[in-house]
Amino acid sequence: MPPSTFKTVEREKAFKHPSKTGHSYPILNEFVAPHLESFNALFPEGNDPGLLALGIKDIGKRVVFDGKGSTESGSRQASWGNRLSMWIDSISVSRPLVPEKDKAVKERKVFPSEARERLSSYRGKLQISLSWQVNDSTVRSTNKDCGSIPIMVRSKRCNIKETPSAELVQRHEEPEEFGGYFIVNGNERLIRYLIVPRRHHVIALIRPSFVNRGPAYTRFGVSIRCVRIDQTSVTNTLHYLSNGSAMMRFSWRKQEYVIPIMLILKALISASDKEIFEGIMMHDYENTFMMDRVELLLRSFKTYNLQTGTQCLEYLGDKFRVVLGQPEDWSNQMLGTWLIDTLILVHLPNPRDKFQLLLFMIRKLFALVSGDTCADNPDSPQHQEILLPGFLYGMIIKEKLAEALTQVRMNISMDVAREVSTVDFFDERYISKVLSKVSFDVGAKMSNFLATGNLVSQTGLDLQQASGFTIVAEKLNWQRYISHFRSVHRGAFFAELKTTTVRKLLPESWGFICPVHTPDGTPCGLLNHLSRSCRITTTTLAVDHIPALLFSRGMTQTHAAVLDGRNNVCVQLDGRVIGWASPPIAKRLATDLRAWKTQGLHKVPLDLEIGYVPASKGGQYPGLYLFSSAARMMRPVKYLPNGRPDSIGPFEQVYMEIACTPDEINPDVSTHVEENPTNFLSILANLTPFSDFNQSPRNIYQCQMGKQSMGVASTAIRHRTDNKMYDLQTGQTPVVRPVLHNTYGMDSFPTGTNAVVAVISYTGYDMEDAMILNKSAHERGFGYGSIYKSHIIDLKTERGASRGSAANLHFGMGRDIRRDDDIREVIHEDGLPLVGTRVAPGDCIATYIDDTTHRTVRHKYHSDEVAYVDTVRLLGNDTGDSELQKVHITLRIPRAPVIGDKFSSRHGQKGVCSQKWPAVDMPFSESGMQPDVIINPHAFPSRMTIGMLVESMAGKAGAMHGLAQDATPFTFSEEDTAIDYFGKQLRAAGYNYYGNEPMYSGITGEEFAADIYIGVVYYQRLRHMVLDKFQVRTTGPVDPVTRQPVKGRKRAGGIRFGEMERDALIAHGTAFLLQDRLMNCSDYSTAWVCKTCGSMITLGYDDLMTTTRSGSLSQGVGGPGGEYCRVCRAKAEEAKASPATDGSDIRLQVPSEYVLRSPKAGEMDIIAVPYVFRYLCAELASMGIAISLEVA
Amino acid sequence: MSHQNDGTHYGGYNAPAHESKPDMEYICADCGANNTLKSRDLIRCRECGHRIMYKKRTRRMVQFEAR
Amino acid sequence: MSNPRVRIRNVQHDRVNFVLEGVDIGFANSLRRVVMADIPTVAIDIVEIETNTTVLADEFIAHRLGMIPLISTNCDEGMRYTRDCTCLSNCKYCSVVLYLDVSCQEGGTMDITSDHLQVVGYNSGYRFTSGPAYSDPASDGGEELSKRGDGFGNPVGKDDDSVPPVLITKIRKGQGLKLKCVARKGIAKEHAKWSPCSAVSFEYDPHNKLRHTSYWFESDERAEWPLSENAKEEEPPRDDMPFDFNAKPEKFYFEVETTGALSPKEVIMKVTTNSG
Repeated sequence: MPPSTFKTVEREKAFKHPSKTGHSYPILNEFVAPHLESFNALFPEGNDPGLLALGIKDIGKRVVFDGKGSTESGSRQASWGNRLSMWIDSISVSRPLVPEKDKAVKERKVFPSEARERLSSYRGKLQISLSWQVNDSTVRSTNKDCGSIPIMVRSKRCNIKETPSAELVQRHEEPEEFGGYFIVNGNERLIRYLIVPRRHHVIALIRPSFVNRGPAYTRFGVSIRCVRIDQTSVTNTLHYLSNGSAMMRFSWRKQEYVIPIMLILKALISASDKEIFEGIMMHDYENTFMMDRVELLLRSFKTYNLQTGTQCLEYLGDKFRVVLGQPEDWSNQMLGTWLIDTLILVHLPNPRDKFQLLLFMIRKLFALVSGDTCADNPDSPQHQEILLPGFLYGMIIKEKLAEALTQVRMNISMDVAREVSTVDFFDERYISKVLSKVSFDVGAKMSNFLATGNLVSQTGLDLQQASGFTIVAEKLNWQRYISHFRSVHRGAFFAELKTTTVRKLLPESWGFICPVHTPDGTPCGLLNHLSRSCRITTTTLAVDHIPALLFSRGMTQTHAAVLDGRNNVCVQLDGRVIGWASPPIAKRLATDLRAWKTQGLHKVPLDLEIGYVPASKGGQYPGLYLFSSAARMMRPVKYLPNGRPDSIGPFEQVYMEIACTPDEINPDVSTHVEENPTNFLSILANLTPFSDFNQSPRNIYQCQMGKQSMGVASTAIRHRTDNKMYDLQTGQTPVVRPVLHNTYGMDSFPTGTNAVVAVISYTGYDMEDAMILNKSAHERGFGYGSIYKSHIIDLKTERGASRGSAANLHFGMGRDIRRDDDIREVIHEDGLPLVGTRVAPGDCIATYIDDTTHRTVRHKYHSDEVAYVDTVRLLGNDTGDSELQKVHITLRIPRAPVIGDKFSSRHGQKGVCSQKWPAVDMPFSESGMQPDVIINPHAFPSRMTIGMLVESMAGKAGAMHGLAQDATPFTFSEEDTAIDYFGKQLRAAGYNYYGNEPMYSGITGEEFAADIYIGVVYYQRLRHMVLDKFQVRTTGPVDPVTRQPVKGRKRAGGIRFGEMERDALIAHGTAFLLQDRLMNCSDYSTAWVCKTCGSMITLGYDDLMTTTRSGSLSQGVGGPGGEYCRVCRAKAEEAKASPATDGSDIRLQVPSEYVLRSPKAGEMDIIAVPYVFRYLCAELASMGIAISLEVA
Repeated sequence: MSHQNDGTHYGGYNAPAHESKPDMEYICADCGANNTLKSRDLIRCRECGHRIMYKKRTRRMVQFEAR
Repeated sequence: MSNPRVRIRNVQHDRVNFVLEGVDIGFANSLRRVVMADIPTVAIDIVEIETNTTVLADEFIAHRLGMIPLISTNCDEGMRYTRDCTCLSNCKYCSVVLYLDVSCQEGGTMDITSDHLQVVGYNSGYRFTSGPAYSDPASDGGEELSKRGDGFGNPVGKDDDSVPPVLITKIRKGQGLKLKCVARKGIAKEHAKWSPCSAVSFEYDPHNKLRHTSYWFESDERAEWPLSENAKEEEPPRDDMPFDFNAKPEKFYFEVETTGALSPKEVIMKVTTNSG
């Protein structure tokens, strides 16, 4: 017998004995690498101080003066007094540990599973060392506790960082646990990748909205997103003004500012007008357009009357002094320098580099305006990169620390201003008092950020959104779980945009973003997923030697005076102008670099992106742009000239010729070939069998449905506390699956069952995408599953809990519960339910004793389904020194399929089970096979899911021969067809070549006139189940105001019978039904109405008892019940004249048939009206409008 | 309320009123040790100090239909 | 009906292959339907779980137990339906009680299989925590018990090394499963677990002489449609043979594969006696 292609035995072995050294599926750790590596980058490693350390360095010092003229006789120093500067010296983050307070514990480390099970957060302590110095005295410092920040699981600060499978299992994790998420309050949350503009690249923009920025502004601009070494960013935009000048825009604390570009150019290096002129013109004097602009630019600046760089800096410093919040003793020049350092082209520390790049920006801007170059598309991945979770996390920590430090300064300066007597900079006690008043709890803020996804920020962090950064990593099934880690969002800002251009699938995204895996509906095209082979760089590469390398190969120096801009293009490395070269040389440089990097020569890193933009008429601005920074998307391909692996990015890809398969290589044009033709698909899209046979939208649907199918979500299900978890009892490995199914270890987490599917219109119960289930198949366990639901009882939040620290509610059963009480069937003496027992709706699930009342309170199970108690967890607190206050109960709800449950194949063919058909009545084949599922042939012609038909054949052949069929897309061709391959297998198994079989009616035993297409298809049971959705109501709760049925399934409400439904009934003339729906079944009521005045709100009653006794039934004629119209009686009493018919504002006629009862005596009738009408009358009456009904 | 840090701690001031309660056995989520807890005892494993306990499965019979 | 004839081509312990002749199609199909769904067998219907520290959920194990075939020889006469029995819950006439009590003491994994199921004898007096195995015998004790075959109610393949047992679940050291099962008589119309057959194949007219069906083909019908084994039993049609539109199917080819609960012989005999 040939070895099994399913590898069942190997898999079972690996599962029984997980690897003690590594993982069975290392690829699962690779695809979350950007999450982990970006988080790890926060912490020091070797010589790298880590982003947090770089960040606190960038925060700088906060300076405050005590206003006490000191002994020194310095002129300015004297007036400000002592100078206290304060800064953060160092920062450290610990691993998650049990607090020091707890002495008894053996294992000091906290593991992620505890955080999950105890519904707490997985976090480590953040500590900083705070230093301060008064004047020039010695530096003093103190350690400050900044709370605990959530730690990414499996990161450098995690306790299961490089733990092998075997130990992970011991730690109650998945054997293939890959981390990449945080645990906050027991929930697994991750920071989603976000698309941001590519850093260090000047992007030409044409935006009509720029015009609104002010007078003379035009649509044109160029913008660059600059990133500091701590990964915080600043965007600078250069606007073109219709008067020829240009303005530089940047934002500071969410406020936008614009500065004339000349001011910055001068301030940077004291450039002379000639220098600027030549720098922009670059000997291109024939270009009169540019010449005119430059002239205007220079001329317009004359009005400022600033000649030298120092003057410009002082001018800037003076204008910005108020907003910058820097030390008061700084001179204007210092402030100006600081402003340019921290806000203008922050990726370049050298002013000359900044100057050069600004000149480049101006040139590109003018080229854009003149039409020599086109605008860049900011929606194209070419100009995009990914905001990585770790980097964002670091940015927020940095900002929160900076805020705290600023707060310290504010507090001190407030003390100084209020002349608080204790202010003494030399007194350590005062400093520590001030420090204790300021909240340094960054931990709580980070937890809040992760728990809500909301960014509370003063600077906005150069991001376009303030919320939606984090998502829950739902473990509904494995497919859904892993795709969270590969999802990329375009940004919440774009979700509200009316235009759909941002959602468009662009050819530039090939290989980086999956064209198939995006949801349909609102987030379509905004929420994408990375292609399978797409990586994201997380480190800045070592490229310091690259400029020298390029000089040696013919690149010209930047400051060569004789550079001609007409026949030279700019060479940039990470947004720094490193030289110029003529287009042929630039092209050669690019080719050389590529050869070197693929061969590993000259230490050129493989991940260097070499974007050579050739000169063109009205195309992209030419140049050679090199990128080596982090956060870029990269993907592997093969470089044809030397046949070595290459790594390419979306910027360069646009100018490449990449063949999809080796066959497609055109020797004249192709530079690269894909390593695998399926690499451009995401992991999920790759799992669709034969997806190349399907109409593309069906593959999109399958990507959605794969994520909704019930399956084995986790192998550590006992240690999970997810709110809701679905579990399929009998998951199978699909017979037909792509190779990647094994690569990603999907067999550990099956999401469906191989079903025998017949395509036949059999009973009529398979119309409109319904499917018939074989009753026997169902009874044998087809699609059986269960739902695990969490039920948390926290006595601290329960009603009657005391606010204080001492608990007054305790789990337990008091003496007031009798020995034979029914709840003892479900609940023990400890007040907790018995594990394994059945709980029915309305049952008591826990009891607790209230100290204040000494009574036992019953906690009920509110749900309409029978469940079994699966686990009861008693949760202690962080330090293990509290009594039981919180329990977590996992309830298991068995869910066998019922009619109305949703199923789907893997080809976007979903259907609802419409009938469980008895096996004897099912059609059967000559060999006695009966379908598990019957679907209607009409499901195919319009949807064109040929992949499903091929899967059916392949499945049948695979089942007969015991083969795991390879269903990788793009393996078959027109010459070598799938039909032929599987057809031959079927014939070898004794079946018809095309997968048809003669079948017999189960009812008559007669052979069908047509042969039937029957095969094996992998079916998924989707999580949408009728039991969660059905809504019925006969009578039930009503709204207290309108007395109409309430809405909502949870409240046993009704379904709205709305305007359009009403229209339909009217159009059909079904008046009786209309009345039944809108009146009798809704808010039917009866009301008294006065025959005379027609009012419904004037009912009064004579007390018959009292009136008869007193014998004074004088006024008016009351009805039999004593009812009368108060208005009419009053009128009659008053005037005894004309009846009060004229007083009303609105008159309505009520035909006699609607009068229910007309008491002979009396002036009131009873009519049936909707209750809302009565309510309306009352409301109108309150407005002074009377309604009168004419009762016939 | 001052807590003693040993496992035999009884809890609140009126704990004696609940002394008649039968002890319940729980399983430590980390080391799997059996822990006998009284009402208002600290949630902490006596063996390893872990802070989560599982309740044991009931000995009572639970009936299911085999379908 | 003229004279039904059954020609048995092959009998094994779990399957029988025969040709039915001399009946019309409706009769043949009824035979198939009865074989599949109307022969009573015994199967576990109620599971009372006392201990379950395995990884599988209670109802999952209960469902798996229900699917285990139990020896049901002469179940039709040897047992009563619970609904027809005069007892209150389950007595020896209408039920077979089985118990399972396994726990794993050594390291490594251990299989819990159908072989661990033990029938509780009527006279054993075995008491479960929930009460006696069988409720008080119904007053009108019939002769059902004497009609039962050997090992009635035992899982198929118990005490037979040649038959691999049915796996219920796997356990590791420290885990265990203890439960009581009540097996009852039933038919597959109610639930598939009472079906004595795992598959019934049925064919007539292998050459499609009657043209009940029309074979779809791309180019060549004969090349694309393989003939079944049963085609050897019949004369292949000659190309020049006229179509006889009055012809009726005459020979029906059956293969009945049983679960082991009943022998193939008994299954077929029961059909004939039941349907008269």
